Amino acid sequence: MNELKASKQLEIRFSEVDSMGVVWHGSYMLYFEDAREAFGAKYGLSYMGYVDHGYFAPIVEQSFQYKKPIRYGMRPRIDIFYRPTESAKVVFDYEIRDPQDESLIATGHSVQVFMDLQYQLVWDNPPFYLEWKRRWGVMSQE
Amino acid sequence: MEELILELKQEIIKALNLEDMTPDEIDANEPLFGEGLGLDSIDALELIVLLEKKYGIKLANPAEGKAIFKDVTTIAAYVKEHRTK
Repeated sequence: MNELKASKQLEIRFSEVDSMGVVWHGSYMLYFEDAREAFGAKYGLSYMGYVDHGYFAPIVEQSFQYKKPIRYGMRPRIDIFYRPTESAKVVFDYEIRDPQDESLIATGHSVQVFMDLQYQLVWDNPPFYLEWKRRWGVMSQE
Repeated sequence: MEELILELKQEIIKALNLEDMTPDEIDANEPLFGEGLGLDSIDALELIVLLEKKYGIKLANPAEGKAIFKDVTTIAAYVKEHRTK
């Protein structure tokens, strides 16, 4: 099965640094969002694309592991990996690394589900998503 | 039927990564969602895959699904009647 991966260099804003002099833990949520946008742009799985097909794709689970601080002036890279799933979910793993030595700064995991435009949970893989999985060779069904 | 109930409990444990549970700890007549086992609607997405993959049952209608996923006994009865594999 193909591994779908996208990367993005992060620009650290001064406003993201907290009183300990490191990037505030909550800022990472936005970095992960940036990574999902980069992934969507590369593979055609964007938020607006979901809506065009008549779905929302809300986050229902998001976790972080903080291993090393990010300081102002650093230019870390975030890698986002698509994790194939048979259920009607979009699952990603994330790694933030320091390009200087490739050391791992943080990891994370997110799960999105599909809702129709009436905000009802969708139980089955939407047809456009099945088609997307087929196109990129990430169908986990036999 | 007893066999199918045990098998379903094992499959549910596997599908939802409840590895610290044993089938004995799941009461077949206890609600799976909310109270009882405390599953939520996101967990139901995995049960749908389980029914489709293991038993060849395709549930697309959430209203129908809610009734079928009431408890393990109800799922077992539905599987027994509708399974295609």
